[in-house]
Amino acid sequence: MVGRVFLGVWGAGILVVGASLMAGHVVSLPVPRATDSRLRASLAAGPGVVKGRWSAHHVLYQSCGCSQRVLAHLLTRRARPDLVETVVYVRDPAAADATEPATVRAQAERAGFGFETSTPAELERRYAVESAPFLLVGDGSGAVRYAGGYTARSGSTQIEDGDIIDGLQAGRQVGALPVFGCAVSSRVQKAIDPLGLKYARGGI
Amino acid sequence: MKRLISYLVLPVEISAFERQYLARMNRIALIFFFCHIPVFIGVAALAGTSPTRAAILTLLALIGPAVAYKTLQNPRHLSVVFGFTAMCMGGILVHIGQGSMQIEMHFYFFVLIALLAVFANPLAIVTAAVTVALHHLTLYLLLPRSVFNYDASIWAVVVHFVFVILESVAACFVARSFFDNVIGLEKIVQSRTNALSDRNRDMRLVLDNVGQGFLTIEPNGTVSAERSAIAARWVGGYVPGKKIWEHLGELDSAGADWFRVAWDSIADDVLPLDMSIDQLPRRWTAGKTTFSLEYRPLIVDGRLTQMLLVMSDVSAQLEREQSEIEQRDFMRLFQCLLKDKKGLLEFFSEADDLVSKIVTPEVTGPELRRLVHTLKGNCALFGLSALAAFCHDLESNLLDAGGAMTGSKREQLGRIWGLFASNLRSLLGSDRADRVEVDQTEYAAVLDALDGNAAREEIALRIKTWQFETARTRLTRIAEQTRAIGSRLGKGSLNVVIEPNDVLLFPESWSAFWSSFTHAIRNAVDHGIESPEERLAVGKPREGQIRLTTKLLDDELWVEIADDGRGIAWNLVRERAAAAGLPHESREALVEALFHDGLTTKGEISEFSGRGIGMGAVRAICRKMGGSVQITSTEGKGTCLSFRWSNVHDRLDALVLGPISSPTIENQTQEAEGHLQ
Repeated sequence: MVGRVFLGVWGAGILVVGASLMAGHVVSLPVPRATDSRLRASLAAGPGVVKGRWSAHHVLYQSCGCSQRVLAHLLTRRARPDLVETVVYVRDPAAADATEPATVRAQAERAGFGFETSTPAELERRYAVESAPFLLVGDGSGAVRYAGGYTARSGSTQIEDGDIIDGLQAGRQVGALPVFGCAVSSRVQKAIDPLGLKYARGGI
Repeated sequence: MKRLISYLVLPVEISAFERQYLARMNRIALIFFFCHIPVFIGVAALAGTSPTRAAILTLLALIGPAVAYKTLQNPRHLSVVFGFTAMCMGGILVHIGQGSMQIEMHFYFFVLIALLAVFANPLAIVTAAVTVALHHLTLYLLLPRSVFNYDASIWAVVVHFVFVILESVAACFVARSFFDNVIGLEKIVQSRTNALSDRNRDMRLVLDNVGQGFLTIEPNGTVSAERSAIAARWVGGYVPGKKIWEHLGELDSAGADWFRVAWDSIADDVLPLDMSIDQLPRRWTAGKTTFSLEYRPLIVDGRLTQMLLVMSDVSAQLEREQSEIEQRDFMRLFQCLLKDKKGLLEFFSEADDLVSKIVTPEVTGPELRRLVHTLKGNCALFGLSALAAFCHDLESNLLDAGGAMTGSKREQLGRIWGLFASNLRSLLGSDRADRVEVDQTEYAAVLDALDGNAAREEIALRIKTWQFETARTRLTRIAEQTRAIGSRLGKGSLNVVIEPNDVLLFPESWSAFWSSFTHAIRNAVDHGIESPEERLAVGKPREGQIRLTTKLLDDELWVEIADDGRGIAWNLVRERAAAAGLPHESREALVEALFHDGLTTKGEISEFSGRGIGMGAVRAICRKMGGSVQITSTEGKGTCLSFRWSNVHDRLDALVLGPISSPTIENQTQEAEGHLQ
């Protein structure tokens, strides 16, 4: 009897844990509105940003697998010459590896990207962004032309930043893709991980 | 719905085979899932996720099946736990395998659902499917938007759902089929075995409660273990290797060797099976109990595989039949008494004499056989079936035993005869044979002779003849018996003609002859007279004719019996005589062979004839009385058997009575033709 009760508890617990973990993967994370003034301000504040030139900010989170895949993609394709691209690397305060941002910076700069680091709190304050990976594109006039995710589906390997930028530069209307990845702000983390399994310190 | 549930939920009973199979499969499944730990750590490392996290999550998922493995007694329940675990493992894999292969990690779910069919339990698959559903439900409760991720439409969710359902349905079908046709096969066999056992038990109940005993015998004579309760009670329990004749020999050892020899002919398979079975005994006696034995060969592919022996205790039946026969015999006795008291008394006297000789231990061999045969014939003539049947069996035993009779048989005969004698005495009361009866005509004739002053010696001689029997009376009695035999042998009504010729015979002198004369009568009827159909076919009258004659010619007494039957088949006699090693070259030799004990032209032994003893018996008596026998026979025309004695005048035991030489009685004797010779 005790065994059966235990199994019942275990089964229920496993279901909740699984659902909780899975939610983080499949939920589309909140993105700031394109009209948010903080976004406009951040477009003008990036390293090497030149007024009148198209610019793109790639907001990537240190502890986010999806961000890492976007980063790998960016490093592979290297920075485009037709716009100023900046990697905004959000450090994870709980991350064990404190040297990683320096490594990433070196890689990014070698690939032609501007690089700046941030913290989750600073990110929210400066960019109004609470999740990653997040793409912000401006046309040099100070207007936000794109604010959204990189992929059309969760877990997709089809990173569409190139198409997005191409489309925007071609004058087409490009809809914002959902952000599939990780919550950066504690608010969103609590929202999608109420059990604290993924984002809490030592979480799984 | 009920059918669906009964399809998905297996019957409660778990066979030993299924338990054993599931125990093995569950053990393999546990090992399989524990093997996930290093694999998932590797996947996490490759996918760039946390190996530690992978290990922790996998171990967490394995706690359940590990506990279930230790605590659950029902192996099917453990399989269900594995169904749940499989889906949890899939979730972990997708979680830790995020990245470029994350979508492909979902194959795990479909593979595992299919693999769950090895448990042959649809519930394990249903559990997996329900786990997935519950996972999404929980997901929805936690984060409603996550179910419809990337803003997928409801139809995208439906597509996922349909695929899982489709595979689950297929896997359930496979699992159930696996259970029904493989895992459950043993159960089906067991179920049918149980049903057969039930039927066998019921059948056994029936067999054990019928009056017959059933045994099966192997071709080598060994009695199988299967036997009904009553058979076990009669012949004992199963003893490996024990032969049927050993079992029966414990009841009565006398026939055990016979049984063994007869069974050997079955085992040798030389003779036709039916013929071999006919050699087996039909009756077996154990003390006062008599069993009838029936044999039913069990043939498979033309070969005897077993013999079913059906034993029945027929003691009560035999006793009843015996009682009925005795009752019938008693009635016949009564009828005979009313009809021919003198004849019956003579028969009794003769038969009593025969019995007293038969039960004498010194009488053995051919003489004993003739006496028994004569007694049988006389009993049959008077319709005493029980005695005749006993004598018939006695004759068979004598042949089997080489002419010797056991003391028990003598006692038995004495007992049966004693019963008959007792019955007869009760009928007679004080009306015994030791008196002289005279009919009114004779009485008046003698009285008149006295009144007419006839010679004293003549009157005295006349009175002396009152103790004589007229041949007419004797032949009339024999004629009636002859007709009775003809009727019983299917020879139709016989025309029996008597020609007594006023012969008188002194009973005490001739009783032995008349007693054995029955053999001549039975031979004439049974061997000589054809069936009505045969007679008509050869142009003879339907009724066979038998002529019985007595006559005194000069000083010689003739007793003849002549029939118009088929005559003696001399060729057949020659053949049988040759086979018996007897002279057979001349007619005289063949006639002599006819009187030889054991030679018969009849194929079958009946209550009346067929043993080849009667002719020898009647000739022996005839010769003992100083007479001779002549046979004349023409094939197709008939046979005449003529017994002759000379010098009867001197012996004064046969005469023809004329009228007393007195005028008053001269015309009163109608059939007398001459004076006392």
